[in-house]
Amino acid sequence: MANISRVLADRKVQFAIATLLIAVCLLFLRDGNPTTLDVNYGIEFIGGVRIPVTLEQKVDAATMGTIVDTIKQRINKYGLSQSVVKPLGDREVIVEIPRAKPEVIASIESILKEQGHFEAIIDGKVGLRGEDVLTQAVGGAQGEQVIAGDKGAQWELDFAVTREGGERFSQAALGKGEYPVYMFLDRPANAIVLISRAKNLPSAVGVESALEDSLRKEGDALLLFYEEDFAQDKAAIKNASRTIAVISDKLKERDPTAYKELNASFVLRERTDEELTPKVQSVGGELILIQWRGIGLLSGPTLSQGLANGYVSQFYSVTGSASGATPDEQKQNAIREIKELKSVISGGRLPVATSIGSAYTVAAALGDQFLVYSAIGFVLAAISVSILIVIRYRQPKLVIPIIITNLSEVVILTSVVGTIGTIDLAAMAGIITLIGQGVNDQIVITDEVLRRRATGEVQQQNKERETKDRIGRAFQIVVNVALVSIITMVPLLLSGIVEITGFALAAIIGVIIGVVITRPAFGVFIEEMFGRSGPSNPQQPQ
Amino acid sequence: MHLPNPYAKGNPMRYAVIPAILIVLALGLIFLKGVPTGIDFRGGLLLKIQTTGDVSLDAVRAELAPLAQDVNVRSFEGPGGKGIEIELTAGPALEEAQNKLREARELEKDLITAEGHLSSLEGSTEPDAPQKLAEAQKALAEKQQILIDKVKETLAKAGSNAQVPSDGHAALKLAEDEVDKSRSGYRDKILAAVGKVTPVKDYTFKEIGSSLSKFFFSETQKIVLYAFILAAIFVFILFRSRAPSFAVMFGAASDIVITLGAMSLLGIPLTLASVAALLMLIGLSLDTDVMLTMRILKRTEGTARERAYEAMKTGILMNCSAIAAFGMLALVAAWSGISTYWEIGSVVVLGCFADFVATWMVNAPLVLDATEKKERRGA
Repeated sequence: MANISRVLADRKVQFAIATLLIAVCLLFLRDGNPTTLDVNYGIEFIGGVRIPVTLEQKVDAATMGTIVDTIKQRINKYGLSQSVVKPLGDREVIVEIPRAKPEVIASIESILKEQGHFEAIIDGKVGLRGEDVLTQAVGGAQGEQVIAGDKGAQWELDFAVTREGGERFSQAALGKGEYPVYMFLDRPANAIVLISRAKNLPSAVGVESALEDSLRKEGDALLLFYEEDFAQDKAAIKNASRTIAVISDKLKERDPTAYKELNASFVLRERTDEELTPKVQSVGGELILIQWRGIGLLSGPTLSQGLANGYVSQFYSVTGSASGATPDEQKQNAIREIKELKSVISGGRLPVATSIGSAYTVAAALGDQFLVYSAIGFVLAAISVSILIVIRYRQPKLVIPIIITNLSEVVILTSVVGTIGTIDLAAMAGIITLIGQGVNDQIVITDEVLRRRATGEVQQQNKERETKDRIGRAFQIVVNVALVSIITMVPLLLSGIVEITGFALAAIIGVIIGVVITRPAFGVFIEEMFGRSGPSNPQQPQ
Repeated sequence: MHLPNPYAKGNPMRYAVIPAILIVLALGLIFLKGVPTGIDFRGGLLLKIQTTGDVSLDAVRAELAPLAQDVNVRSFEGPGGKGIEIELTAGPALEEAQNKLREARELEKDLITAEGHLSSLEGSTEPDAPQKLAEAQKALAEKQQILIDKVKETLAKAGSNAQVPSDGHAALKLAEDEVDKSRSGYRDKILAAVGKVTPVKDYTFKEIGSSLSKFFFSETQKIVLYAFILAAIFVFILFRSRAPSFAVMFGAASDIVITLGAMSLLGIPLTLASVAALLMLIGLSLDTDVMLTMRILKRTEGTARERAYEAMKTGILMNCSAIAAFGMLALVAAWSGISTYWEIGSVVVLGCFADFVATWMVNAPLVLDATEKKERRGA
């Protein structure tokens, strides 16, 4: 094989070799450890759980985004951080947790049902609790509206509560017209709050008393302290006999001793400085808090006089106005505010009911076996195709380029799919079947080249050009067929059906790799073998 | 092995009789016998367990019979050891319970409306207020009762005998919890039932709920349709002529029809994986068709019939190599019990045989016919 150096000098071959090297590096060196295969395996190969969550009704893209984010947050909170949450169509959400045991299905079920604790507090008295709210009657088609006005968009959100809730609210609201109604979600119980005057306190007159007001609740007031006064309040903090301390996540840096002391005697809830900074608003000359995320205070609407006269109502509406530079922005802000309030009142519940009717669990031990079987399938497929080629062409040396091409295609494909996607059973099937498809193209190319030798009446000097010509024509077929294969797989890829998109992805990328990288190199090989200086008396294919 | 040129003499269209018969047979099978569907499209549960010794399949069947509508148990044996595969369709009760629950949620909205109506009348001082109030109270009580009845139906379907509270809202909450409980309990019951016969340690468990299976079904129909339309558009652009485009698309369609017929005959189920394989068949079928059509139409050496013969030799090898590769996949699947591989492998192998028939007995004659007519006109 004196012509091997000529093959290696060809650009197409060099390109293929370079790609192959990069692929090998990606496969083995991504984590710096060359002894392991660094691809993203699907749960079929490493074990795990996949749970499609069905929504009770179709939702729009924005709501779907909210749902996916909420589920993600809650799952991460449970420490299942490797999980993948993604939407499927407009009614399904896929939750995939690698390496998890089947028991996790039950926790996902509870995560989905999980809700925060809603409280509406008027002048230190609890008016409404989460269980009072009729979740089906918060907002909805008739219960939400936004009206554009001169001073921003006015919005209104209606909700209904149980009879019991209505009675409790009317008692708490009696005579408290124009008082703020503090709406909390997961208000910390039995807790102190430590904030920094410099970082968290808005500069307004009367802000400290407004803060104190929002902390009140009969039997469970929150105690407010300032980082600046920590040294002198130390004793008071200890004597408060509370269990939880809401502090800044920067306290550790700002005041390590205070952090250490609190850490010794409290359960710490760290919040960002932004969350610990209350938002205030002046209503009728008086400063009230409208938001203080650090303690779960998410909204502070004012109680209307009509609700303060002792009548029991089960129906309430909250109104507000949203600002913004343009009417469109105002409207968007109003919609956002409604959505936020809705989520507070319904206790942070998902906007639509969900159900888990399906689940897929693979034990890790079986995943390993699947991987072994796949490797066996791959080797057998490659061997059987090679045998076929040898029988057909009666030229054992043809096997070398065909096997090399095949192997390179598979390595590059595995590396690409394993890097940008996930190698699951479907993708693996796509990789194995690439052998069958890839060889098809090689047959088209080889046949074209060998066919001219069968008719072989061309002058020697034309031989080279003629071979190039034929490879070009063969490529015409190869490229067209490749395009068709890609086109038929695109709808499957775009469907988002996790179980099978891997197959489409592997099939499409495999075809592209073949046409762009490896099969041109194979063409060069064949050209060298048979076109330029092959044996003078070629064996004719039968 | 020397093949004579089958297109050398006579009207090549005579070969079309064979695929025509096959297509009629396949359509008959598809519509009369039907293609079996896997749990992806039908909903149900697939449990695969590694076992240590021999397991009595009948005993497993007997344990599961009371829990399901339809139980299918088979064993497999691979290098990793023995195992059994159980496929079952859940009884309709749970799904009915879920439907009832959905209805109950709607009824709660009626109840809320009635409550709203009542509370709007309570402060009223109009002369006919007391009468209206009484009416509203009666309406409310009725709504309450309807909701509670629905909750009772739901609980009955879910197999729960919990005490229903008299308040509609509380009753609905109870129904939600009970339906959830009975759903997750079902999984455990199945595992426990199998566990009585053989220890269940490592297993794969796949459960497809009815709504997901319906989604998969409608979605894959769309996918196949789009794939076909896209392929047709591409083929038409490629050949810019009606006869060959039609021939090529007909080849792909008949390939799929014959394969579906064979699946019906052999009991290979329609699943997400086998649908993906069917889509791949469009590509594989067009593979040989495009090669054939381009060689006959766009080349000039020899006669059209000779070119068709040359193309056929290449095409047969292409089909054989696909059969070899996918056949191995199917073989490994039959041995290891990986159903995804089995469904893809076996469907493509069947499809390659169908493609052989469709391409060389219908397509090639069609394209030959068109080319010869054109050549005669040109001459």
